[in-house]
Amino acid sequence: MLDTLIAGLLHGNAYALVAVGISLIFGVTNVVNFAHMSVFGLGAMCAWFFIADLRWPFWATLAVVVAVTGLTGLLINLLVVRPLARYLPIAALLATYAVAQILDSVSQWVFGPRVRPFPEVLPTDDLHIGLMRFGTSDVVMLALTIAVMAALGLYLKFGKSGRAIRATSQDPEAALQMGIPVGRIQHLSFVIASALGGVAGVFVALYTGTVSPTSGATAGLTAFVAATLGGLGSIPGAVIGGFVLGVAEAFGVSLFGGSVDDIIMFAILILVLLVRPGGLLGRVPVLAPEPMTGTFLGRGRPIRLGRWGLVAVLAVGGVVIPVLGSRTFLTIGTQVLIYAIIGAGFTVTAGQSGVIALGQAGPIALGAYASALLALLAHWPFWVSLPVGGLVAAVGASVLGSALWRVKGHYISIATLGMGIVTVAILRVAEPLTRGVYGLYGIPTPHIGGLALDTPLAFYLIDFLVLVGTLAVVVRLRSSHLGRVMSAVGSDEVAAYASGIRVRDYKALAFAVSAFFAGVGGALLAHQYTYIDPDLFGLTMSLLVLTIVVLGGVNVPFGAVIGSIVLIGALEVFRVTPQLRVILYGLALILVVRFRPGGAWVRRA
Amino acid sequence: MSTVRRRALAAGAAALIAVALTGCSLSEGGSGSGGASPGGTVYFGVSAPVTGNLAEYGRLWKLGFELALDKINADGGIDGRPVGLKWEDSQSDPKQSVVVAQKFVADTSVIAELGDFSSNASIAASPTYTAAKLVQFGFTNSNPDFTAKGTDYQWSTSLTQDFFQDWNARTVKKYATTVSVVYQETDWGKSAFGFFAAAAKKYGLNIAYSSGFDPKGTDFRPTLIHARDAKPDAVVHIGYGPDGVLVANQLRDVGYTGRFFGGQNVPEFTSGAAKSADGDVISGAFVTEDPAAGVQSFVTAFRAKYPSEEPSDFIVYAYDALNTIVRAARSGGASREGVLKGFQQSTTFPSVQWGDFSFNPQTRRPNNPTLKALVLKDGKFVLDAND
Amino acid sequence: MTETQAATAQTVAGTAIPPLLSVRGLRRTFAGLAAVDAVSFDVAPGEVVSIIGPNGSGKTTTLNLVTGAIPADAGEILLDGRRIDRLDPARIAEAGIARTFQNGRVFGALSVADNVAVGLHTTLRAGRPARRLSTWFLLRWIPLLAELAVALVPTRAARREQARIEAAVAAELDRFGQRLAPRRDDFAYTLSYANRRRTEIARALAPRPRLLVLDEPTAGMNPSETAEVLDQLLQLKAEGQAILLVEHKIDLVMTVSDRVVVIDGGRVISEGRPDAVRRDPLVAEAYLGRRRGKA
Repeated sequence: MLDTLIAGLLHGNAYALVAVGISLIFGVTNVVNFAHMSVFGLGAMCAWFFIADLRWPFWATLAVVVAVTGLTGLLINLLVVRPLARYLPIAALLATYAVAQILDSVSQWVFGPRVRPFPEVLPTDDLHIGLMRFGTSDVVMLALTIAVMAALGLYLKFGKSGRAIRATSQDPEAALQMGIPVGRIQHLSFVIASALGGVAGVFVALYTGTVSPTSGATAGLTAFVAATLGGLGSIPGAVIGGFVLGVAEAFGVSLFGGSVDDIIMFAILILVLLVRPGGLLGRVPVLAPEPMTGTFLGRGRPIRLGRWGLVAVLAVGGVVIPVLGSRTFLTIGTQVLIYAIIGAGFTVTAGQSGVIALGQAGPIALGAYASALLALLAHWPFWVSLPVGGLVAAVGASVLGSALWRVKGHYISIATLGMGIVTVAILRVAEPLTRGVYGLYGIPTPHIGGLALDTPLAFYLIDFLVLVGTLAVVVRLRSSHLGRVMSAVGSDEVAAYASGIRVRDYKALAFAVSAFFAGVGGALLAHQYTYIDPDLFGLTMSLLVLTIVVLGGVNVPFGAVIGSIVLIGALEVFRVTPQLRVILYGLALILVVRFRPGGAWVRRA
Repeated sequence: MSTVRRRALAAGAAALIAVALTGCSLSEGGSGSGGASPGGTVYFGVSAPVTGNLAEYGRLWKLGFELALDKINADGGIDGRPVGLKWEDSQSDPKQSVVVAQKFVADTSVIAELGDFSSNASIAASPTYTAAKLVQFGFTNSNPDFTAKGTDYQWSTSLTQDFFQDWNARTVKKYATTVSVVYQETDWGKSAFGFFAAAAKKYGLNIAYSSGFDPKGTDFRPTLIHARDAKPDAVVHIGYGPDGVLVANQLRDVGYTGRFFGGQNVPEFTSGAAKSADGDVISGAFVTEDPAAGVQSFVTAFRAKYPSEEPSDFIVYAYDALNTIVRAARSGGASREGVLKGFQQSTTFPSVQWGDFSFNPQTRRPNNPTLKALVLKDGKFVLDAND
Repeated sequence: MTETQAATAQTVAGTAIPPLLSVRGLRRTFAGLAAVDAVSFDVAPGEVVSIIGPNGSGKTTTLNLVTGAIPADAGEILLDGRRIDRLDPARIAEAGIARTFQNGRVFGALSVADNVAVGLHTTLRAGRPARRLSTWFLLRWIPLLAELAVALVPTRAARREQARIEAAVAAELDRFGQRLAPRRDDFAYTLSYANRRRTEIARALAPRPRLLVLDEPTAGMNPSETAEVLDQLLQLKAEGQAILLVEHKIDLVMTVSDRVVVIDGGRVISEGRPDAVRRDPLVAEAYLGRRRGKA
């Protein structure tokens, strides 16, 4: 017991140190900075390079790490976050994700992908409590965490620029009017937080003993949850959140085994958010602030296709491509179409009801597994298991998400992210039915009569028809009274509630509709891959869905098609240069978001 | 390490290159099916993790392939035609390996495929290769299902996990009677553990504690505390190199002092767990000091080509795999049907791992393979004198 | 104190009929500070009551409590004699209270016409089958899914209802003459400040509420726009619309109100006919005096 507690505290300390930076940046800029994990990884790799390769002393290396990561943070804010946050906070979030991808790839390319032992610049096993060994490094890390928390706390409370940081976070416009240099303050907090992230990377590398360019990504998600748990923007909250998660994870894993840590982590998060919607130490305003001009999600006017445009698109998509496309082209086409289906359905949630859900992989997985299992075990025909897969996804996601709708703002994004991960974790644990991590093989491909529809062309045509159906339903829904009601919820919850609209119910309904199409998309994926396993449905997939929708325009169902072509197509086009593929993908993402912040299929207003 | 520094410098110019390559890639977009010119290069497709968290294995493959390629082309290629590889990055992700498969299938200059790295990425792509009658040579796919549930077109030189784990349990039994086992919570790890547990029962090895762990995690102490508390003679780790380092080191952190079995013969493991896993015994495809002529000529050639690298299992797997598939193509003909015919009719294939070997045409895996016991001494796996 | 006030209210209204809205001993604290404390007042049917007071005196909080946007810590709110202080905003809206907000909260992603149509949500019958189950745990999915079904495949009754909504929206927009009608298909986020206020008022009026709650409807408007709003308020008053108004522009308040409630520091300090309130020395000191001092 005591050993487990110590293990949890040691690990929690690592989470806490990373979470502080995330919370600080959020507090000042209102942006969830996904690149923080990569800055953390960069710090660790830099330290390895200077110590192991160049043989610099530890303290000099630490100074270099602070300089490099601080500068990286400044550049991220200067080049990506600030230009984008003005348009749409969610665009900034996705752009930081793109930056994360770029940083990871650059780091992997520069340093090589392998995991390396991190030099023991501080003793890592010279102390012990009972049997548990730990090192001076852990003690220094704990001291660092406490010092950072205290220093930041005092600085924010009494320091001149510190007070300005707080004022900026509470109301940037008012702060600007009061003569606080908001821009410089935001730069400063990015520099501080990123330098901290880099230093955290060094100490966490000492703690785990190894370092690799992608090591940030693994610790990062938990640190995010820790920051959210503690209350985004609260430094002590981040530290408490880190320790709580570290200890809870240790005991959870100790009691239930290694595969439950995700479930435990998000169960705690969701429970805390239900009791305290702003996290342990965070506060949310009693009434959501009135949206200011320019923060509306659907800014800009969707481009209208017109009758002939529609005919042309249908002709190209339904006739020209199938006739002329090569097998490879059609295979990529099927992926584009499936993600377009999922994305178009998701506009109901993200665009209309305004819930930036980060967990669409959950319902996609439910649909895929439901349809696959019905086909494999009960021998249901594809044409029946496909819609049933959608229904199962809608019901399952609604049940799992039922408690979330009272959570608001960025918190609901993180909570839905958790829901997606928990859904997949449940599928992984439900091994007797789903075969868990082994995955399902030999999922039957669609048939008509005795004819097997297992060619890329057949898949493409099926997907195309489903997409046309999806768009028809979503467009029809938008133009109905119910669609207007959902859009009202997304535009201004408080005003919608005052107009007699049960906001949470309509969010739940919008989510169920999106989950249905996600499930249908998942079922299509399952029968076309003929193989699925839980790892397919990770955070990357959820983020891809959201990115597709933001890229096309959150409020524009047809935009999801454009987003899907750009994002899936781009990844394939860039395949010719594997080393730079992810980097180019990230750059493309940033550029599109930068120059079409309202979405690719939206005219600037 | 100088490469790291060079790359660090080059990183600054990356943006420029990126722009240039974007231009290239766009113009290259439509060239799906080229068509093989009769006298031109013979291509094998490689579906591999070039980026992502398994990228290190892709890098090791490349070392082995290129070494093999030098010799193959120096010996006249296949029927006088030079041999080349077409690489596609799948990140060893089943979603992407299917697209890669479509690409190779459509490219008529590709006569067979090598990879993917992980069994599930390969299995997901199998129907595509089978439908196009393209041999899929999953030479690292130790999941028996890859060939057992596959068709005539799925072949592998990888030994299956039932074989590996039987050997593993028998070896561990020599040193211990009670063990704690931790295994990767993945399809690979769980099935490997299943085989290990069955073999342990057979050999009378008592498993006092077992648990899966998430290979993407970095902290396994809570699990390892239980492994320690079961008071085993040894702790067995079933996983890869990177997680093996963490498990071995963290076992020492929770105060475990007994023997450790596990990890992999890859530099990531041998350099990181040199101290904590000293005395570890694993099975190996090869060791550099093996006097066999095939091994020595490989090692000599390797050291000449890559002075700063150390030969290891995954390099040997790749080296053997390319030689095997080229032998098949030389025997059956430099075409898709020819490769299959070559696999089915050739009786001997060359290898570093076992010398000459043959395939069992039913299982499409090697006949009567053997394993060597390797022991970790001073950060290096060497032949186990006790074996 | 409260009882005398209530008695005054009824005598002032000059009728014996029960009040439409009755607020008794309302209290709400934020972080220990009472924003509203022991506030009581009535609004009779067809009456226009204004709440005035210095900045931060608790006017908007009172409106938020009456409309259920934030829950009260103590006190009673009755509409037609029925307690509504424990109801959520949606049920209060269904009970017949519609409101606007201080800064004009419109639905930016919707057109002007759609904004008004959303205001008619509480009046839908055919479009929202089984809506009586809306407040029940789990059973609420029945009306939700039924509404989805009708939205995708409308019944004939639903189509008729939709036509009625279009007509009602057009009528509501016409109230504002040439201000809104030409912009009916524009997205609300493109509107000028004044037009946002108008859209919001149209949205609130569309369902023919029993009580219209307006929070500073002329804030940010120039004198001619303010005069326009005044005309519209007088017109509504003539139509018999009960209104609860928070407004800073004293002249407008004095012209349109039947009665005025003055709040300072979260408490009612004066109440009565506009001319009586204007003469009240307490008001002059606490409110008007401070205002003058500030200017």
